[in-house]
Amino acid sequence: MSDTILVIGGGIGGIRAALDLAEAGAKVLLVDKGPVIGGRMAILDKTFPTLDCSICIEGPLIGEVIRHPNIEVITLAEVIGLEGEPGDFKVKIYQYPRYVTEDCTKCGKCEEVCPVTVPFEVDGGKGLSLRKAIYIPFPQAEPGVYVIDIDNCLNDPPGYFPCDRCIRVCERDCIDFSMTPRVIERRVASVIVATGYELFDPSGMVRYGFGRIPDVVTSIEFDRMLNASGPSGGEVLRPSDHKHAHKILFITCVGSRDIHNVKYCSGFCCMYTLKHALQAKQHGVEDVTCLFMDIRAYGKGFEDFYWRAKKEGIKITKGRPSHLSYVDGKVRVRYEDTNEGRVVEDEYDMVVLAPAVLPSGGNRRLAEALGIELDKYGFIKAGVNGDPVATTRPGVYVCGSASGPKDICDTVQEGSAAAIRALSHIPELKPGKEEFEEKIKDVYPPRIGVFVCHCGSNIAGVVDIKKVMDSVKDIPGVVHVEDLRFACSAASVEYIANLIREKRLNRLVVSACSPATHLEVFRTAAKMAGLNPYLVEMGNIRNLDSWVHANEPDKATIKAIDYTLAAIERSKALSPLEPIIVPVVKRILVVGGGIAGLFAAAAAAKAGIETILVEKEDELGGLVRNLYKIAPTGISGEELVRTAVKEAEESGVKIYTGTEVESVDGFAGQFKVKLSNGAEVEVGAIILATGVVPHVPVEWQGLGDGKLLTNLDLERMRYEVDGDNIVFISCVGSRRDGRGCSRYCCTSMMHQALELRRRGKNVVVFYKDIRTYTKEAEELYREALREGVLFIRVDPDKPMEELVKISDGAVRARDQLIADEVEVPADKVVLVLGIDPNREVKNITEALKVSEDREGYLMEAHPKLGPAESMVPGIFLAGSAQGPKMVEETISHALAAASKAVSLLSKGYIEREPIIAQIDQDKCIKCGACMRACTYNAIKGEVRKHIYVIPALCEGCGNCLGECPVNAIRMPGFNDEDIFKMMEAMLKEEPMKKPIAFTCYWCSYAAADNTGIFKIQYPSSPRLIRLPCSSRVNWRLVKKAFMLGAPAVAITGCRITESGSDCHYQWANRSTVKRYNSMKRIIEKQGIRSDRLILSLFGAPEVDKFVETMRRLHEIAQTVTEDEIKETIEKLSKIK
Amino acid sequence: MIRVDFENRRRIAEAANGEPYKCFQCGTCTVNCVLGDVIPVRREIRYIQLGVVPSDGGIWRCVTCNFCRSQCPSDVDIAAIFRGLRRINYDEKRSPEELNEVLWRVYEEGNPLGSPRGERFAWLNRLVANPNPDVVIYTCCLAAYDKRGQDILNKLIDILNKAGLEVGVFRDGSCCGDIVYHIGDDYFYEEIVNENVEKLENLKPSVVLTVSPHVYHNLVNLYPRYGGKISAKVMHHTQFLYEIINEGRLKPNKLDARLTYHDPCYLARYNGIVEEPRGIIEAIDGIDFVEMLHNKYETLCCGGGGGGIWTENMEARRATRDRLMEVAEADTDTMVTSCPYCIRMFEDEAKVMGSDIKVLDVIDVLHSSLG
Repeated sequence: MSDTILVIGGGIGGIRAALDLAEAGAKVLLVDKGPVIGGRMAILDKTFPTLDCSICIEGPLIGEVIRHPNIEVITLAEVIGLEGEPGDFKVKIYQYPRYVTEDCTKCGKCEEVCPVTVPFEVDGGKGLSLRKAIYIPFPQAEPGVYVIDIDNCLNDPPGYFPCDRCIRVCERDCIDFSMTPRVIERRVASVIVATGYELFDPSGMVRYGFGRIPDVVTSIEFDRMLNASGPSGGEVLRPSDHKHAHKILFITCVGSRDIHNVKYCSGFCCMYTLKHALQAKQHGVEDVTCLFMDIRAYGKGFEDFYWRAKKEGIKITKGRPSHLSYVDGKVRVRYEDTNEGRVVEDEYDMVVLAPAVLPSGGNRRLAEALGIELDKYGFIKAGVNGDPVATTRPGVYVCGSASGPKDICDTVQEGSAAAIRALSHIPELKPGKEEFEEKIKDVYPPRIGVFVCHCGSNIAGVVDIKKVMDSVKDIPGVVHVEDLRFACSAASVEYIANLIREKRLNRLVVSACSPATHLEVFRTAAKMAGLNPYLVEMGNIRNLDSWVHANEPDKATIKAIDYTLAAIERSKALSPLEPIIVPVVKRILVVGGGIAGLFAAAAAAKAGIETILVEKEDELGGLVRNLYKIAPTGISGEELVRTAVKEAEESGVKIYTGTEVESVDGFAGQFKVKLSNGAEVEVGAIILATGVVPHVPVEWQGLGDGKLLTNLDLERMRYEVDGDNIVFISCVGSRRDGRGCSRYCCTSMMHQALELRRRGKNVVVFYKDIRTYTKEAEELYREALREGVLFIRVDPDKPMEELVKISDGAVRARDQLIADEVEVPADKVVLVLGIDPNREVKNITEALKVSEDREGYLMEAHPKLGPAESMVPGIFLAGSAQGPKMVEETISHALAAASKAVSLLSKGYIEREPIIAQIDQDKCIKCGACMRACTYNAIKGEVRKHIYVIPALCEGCGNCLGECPVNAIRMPGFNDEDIFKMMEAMLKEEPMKKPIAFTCYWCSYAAADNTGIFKIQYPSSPRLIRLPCSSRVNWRLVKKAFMLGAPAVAITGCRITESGSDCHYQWANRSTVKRYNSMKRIIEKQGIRSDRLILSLFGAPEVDKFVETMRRLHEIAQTVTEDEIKETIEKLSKIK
Repeated sequence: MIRVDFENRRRIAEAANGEPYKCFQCGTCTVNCVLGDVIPVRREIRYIQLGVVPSDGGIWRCVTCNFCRSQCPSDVDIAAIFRGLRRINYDEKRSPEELNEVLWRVYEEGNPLGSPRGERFAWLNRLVANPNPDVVIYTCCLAAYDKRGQDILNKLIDILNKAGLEVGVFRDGSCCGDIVYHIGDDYFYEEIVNENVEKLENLKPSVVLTVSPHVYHNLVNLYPRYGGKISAKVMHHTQFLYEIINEGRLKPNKLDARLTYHDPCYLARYNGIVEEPRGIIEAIDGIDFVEMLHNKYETLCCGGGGGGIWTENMEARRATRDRLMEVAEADTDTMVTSCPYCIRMFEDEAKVMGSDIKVLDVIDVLHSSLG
């Protein structure tokens, strides 16, 4: 038996699976055929629909994999054989030599002297950019050492060595041509295949002109152009003449949904094309057109993204291109705008193709080595026995695009799902505790090391790094200042660690990007050196500076100096802390006994964690129970439920039907739950599988003459329906009034329509876009067409009931495809219902503080990388409760939720951030104000006697610090004095030009970070101060800012709306509003202009609001005179 | 407003072999039609899907090259759809007068040109009267009455003789009926098929050799659907010549030339014959062969098919010109092909354009290499 799991493929799917497994306590062997891990996501610029910087969100995960003690990464390796049985496989791995040893520090000297230049494959390999034969694929690549591309190297080991330039310059003797391929044999319990996909080469399709016309590029080439570290440095330039493109045409479905090439839909090109179109606009391309067949914006938040693109003036046209020609340096294209039936001929500076997603070329060989089957397209065959991640061989699982095109979010979901399946083959997990020996005990007085990161040209291209270094080197306490090209690379992290040891540093300050993404990385550097990780602080001089003040290098440099000085001051206030260890109850509660709940519960129980499932109805199976046949496979809902119930029971899940959750209390690891049957249980994690409800078709009421039925009725009737002419109306309740796509319905409708057609009915479908995005679903669509189902396309941008009229046995609507009214005789009209969030569970979600998204579905931790976790630690989401899903997707989502819950609990304890409030009992006047302010009941005691904080409950928002009248509560780095020092540092010079903005880490600071990612430029004058929550701000801070000469002050934080608050700390921002109002009164009373203090509350994605706030601050600052500031200081110095 | 009549919809779709159902209305066809924006192809199909016969006359302009099909992501046989509609229109007496006249000519003279029936074989250099020929040539009307075509036919006989084969000519037959089929007169077509097959069967040939891809397509693919089963092996001349070269019966000599090959639609797209003509060219030493941008299954069109050559289809000339431009783009002045329609269309248009592009049949090239 083995306790190791093999993960093949180090893209985001493999990374997620590996991390889940390692967290749960399994050992992981991660094999990738390339020289580094990260996969395709690592080279992408942004992800849709949130436009997160791709490598910024993946980078931390890559780093975690590399540093995780349970994960071993083997690159340049292929699996060549697998013998044995689940639980005890023997795997053979063939590893190619890297020719560079682990000692490499990435100094880059070898690269400089290497005489061989080849086109860089990451940028398309067409010579847009070049690399050497010794190279690193991308700046943040891990494992971070160089690799020699031996096919292009002049040397040909073992016998021929005409060149030794790299060997001669390498100071650490890392280059070793004597390395030979080796075969590694290991025992593993199970296997996860995460080998991703390849892209279709459009040069095979003459029409598109790829390879013939220089300014026709693929989407990946375009994406690289957008990337600041790409071949054009982030500018959209025509490859032919390197001039800025003003007019671009995007073409989707290049090779996809094409019988002559690949039949299936490639799943994610519609969305990234909209993303690219938006980015093109942001990069100064004035005229952007996209050609589509159907817009397949089926995921969560995608519909909004589509609207955003429309609002930005992107032309979205249904149509296909003619033969592309190149005339006078322009790409000439004709296409039929099928909505208007008009042929358009136009010329573009550039055309971007979205090529089809193909199965990985190595699949056949890998499948042979693993003894698994491929599907007819060449993807790994999945979905065996209804399990979306099972292959044809027991013990071997698959996730992500290896089994068919999937976007990042679905891939991550499947990565976790495959992890819990793979985990079931390990009998007992023995999670080890991370060892950290705190060697550096002597932490006062501070000996600060300051590192300033270039981030390639991201920072250094704007900020004068040398000036920043010069300005901080003489600050008391600073003993070392240095710049780094990429501070976050593994080699740099190691370098920093060495320097901490060498120079006996006891504080680390890194001025680089955002602490949101990178603080953990530098804390690791500290840990490696034996320095307490809580002695690390960052200055954010990229997202908050170089990216947003790109045209004002001088001002950006001054701002970078200010932020670095502030970080140095805060670092002095930090103290060594120990993570708080909270023991957990190893028990999981699953709420909801639908298909999601059943699968999640069974999987968790199988992984060895006691699991309880409650279902409010008397019967299990939820909505799925009523399905006669489930699309696209056609298996019956009843049967699926039966199998799921059996599996849950056999795995030992305790099931309570007819039972509801009455109340919940507690926190991750220790929840107390009261059930309606009177039982009280303690659980460590809760999985919410509370499902959805079918939309109630209020739009069509009053037509109840027996002709109108719903798609669910049709299931109940087992498709036995009278009449010859059946009309389906899709998108009922979906894609309207801010509601997104319900995702499941096109596929399900296709199945129903086809069944009825095969029974001899005349079937007509009114639709907006056909969204059959899986391989199987697109086949159903083709089949329905072939069989003669008639599809009528209506305006996708209007509610269905406005478009389609039902009367007198006929259905009428304007068919966009002929631009004319069409009337269809109908004996029965089937309303294809969208799904609505389940609002009956509000009591639970509110008690748990699980937020809802704009549509009312439960909000995930991250739309790309955290689909099955809620924002609240210990609460996980399974199935459609998080957003509409097809049945098979619900299952994989449920498995992912189980995987997350198991990873959390299997260690037996949870580590919590130790940055929490502490009461200085000497100063405390026992007034109890903090107790009343705390939204977590984390402050207990008796007024006038004794008040204290319960560490396990404190979330560290600082609300109590904001409330305390006598400054008796301490939180390292966030005390009044600490923030005073930061402000003093920043406002030392020209304070009247620098308004201060207090930001909350979760919303306004995140919005500031995002503004940077979007590169939206705003005035450089405001100085931001990062706090955990806006409720940390008190009058003393505001007063100090004014006293120091700041012209204006903004308090920024999360939104409060009628329905709820985005506040990460459960309505703590109510205190913010309250305090702001009282501060406002104070300054008004003093005769200080009240518009100099502003409050602005907005969410992390609302970059426009953030920018507006910055502009307002800047404008107010310009109206404030020197005399006015003097006067203010005078007035304020008189009051307490 | 259009009221969907399911019965009509079924009837029309059936006439078009169910092909219209397959279309998901992307519009690729409309803008990739070799005729330019003459036929609103997608809209025509949309009307058919809704059960309405489009009435704008677009269907009569289609030259049936099916280039659209090669680009269509659903592989819809659009030419078949139009031919189905032509049949319905013909039945309902809505076919263009110009084409009806062609029908009359076939009816009266056995060829669409209306040339005298008796002169069909005036081109034969010498009387071929082998009682047991190895191959029987089924000439194409155009080749038979066109000087250039006649020349090619004679060269073919010459080549076959050089290979030591006994050659016969199908002298009893008339027009293969291609144009009749395309106009949609199914009754007349069926008559022609039966008559031709009966006479052909009497000859008991082992191989029937066609010089026209259209004749080939009719004999091989369409005749059987109308009850005309030919027992002999039907071959296009490129297939046959390629075969006998491979058998070593012909030994081409060196020929210095740079040339390209134009795949006739009915040879390449309809019948998948693309390697054989290239094989013949490759068998000749010294030839510098270049491909045009569009080749093989994605070949462009001369504009002559589906009746195009028999009507004053000015739009079809756009296709012809586009193709000639590609010849020039391939940096050669010689275009080789293997279809009488193509030769006629390209030669005529080259003259109009004042271009010096030479248009040859594979037979011409092989013949000169045999000295």
